[in-house]
Amino acid sequence: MKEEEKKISDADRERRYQISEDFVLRQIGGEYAIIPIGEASSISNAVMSPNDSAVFLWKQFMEPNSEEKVTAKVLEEYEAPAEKVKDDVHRFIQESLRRQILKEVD
Amino acid sequence: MERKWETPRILVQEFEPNEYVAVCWTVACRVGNGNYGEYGQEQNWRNWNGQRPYGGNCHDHTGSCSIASNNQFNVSESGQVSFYAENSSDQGSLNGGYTHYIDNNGNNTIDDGDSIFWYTLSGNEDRRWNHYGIVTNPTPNHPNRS
Repeated sequence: MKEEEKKISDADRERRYQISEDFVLRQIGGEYAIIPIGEASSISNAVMSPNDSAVFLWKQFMEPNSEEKVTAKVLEEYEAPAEKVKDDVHRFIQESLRRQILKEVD
Repeated sequence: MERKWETPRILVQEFEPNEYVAVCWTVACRVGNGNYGEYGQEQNWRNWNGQRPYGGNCHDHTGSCSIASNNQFNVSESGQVSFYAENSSDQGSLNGGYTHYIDNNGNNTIDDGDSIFWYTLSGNEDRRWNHYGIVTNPTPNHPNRS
């Protein structure tokens, strides 16, 4: 059972995702803002303020990328426990998918 | 030096869209010096919509309403007209309300040539003034006040 769970989990981490074209990231006066621009976006009439970590992840997914590779990139750039980073990246992806900020791509 | 990782967060600040814009037409109050007899509405003026304060015609005060630019109306996305405010020369900005209109051109829209009725209230809302006027054509290049 554990081996099968591990396989499923590995497959998930290799899926590729990309930021939806309904959102743009802009730097304004040293701060970053995410602005919904698509009519179909689930978030509208809003300004979104990402923290530094969220900006980093956002930029990793500007092009199709996988959870596994992005996690590895975070560990290269940041000082943090590996398990925490894995968990944070996974949650970011899941929440972003739910809000249609991120989409799964081939 | 490696950066310090923190849980990624995105703060979402939603704002209310402005669903109202200023109307394109203008209307000046014709009541002026007690000229409320044009439409035979005198009794209605005194008992407007049956709601207190019943009010009087607007010549009871300075008559800023007789200048169209002092009367501000808005319209919603669904076409519902509302009265926004009157810029009164002696009392500042007056609140009030839109009551009804007479569709003189029969097109089911408040526009040029229709008669529109509204009221304004004093600051503490214990006095009310009733107004009516004839809607005037949209102004070319009218600036949107919203």
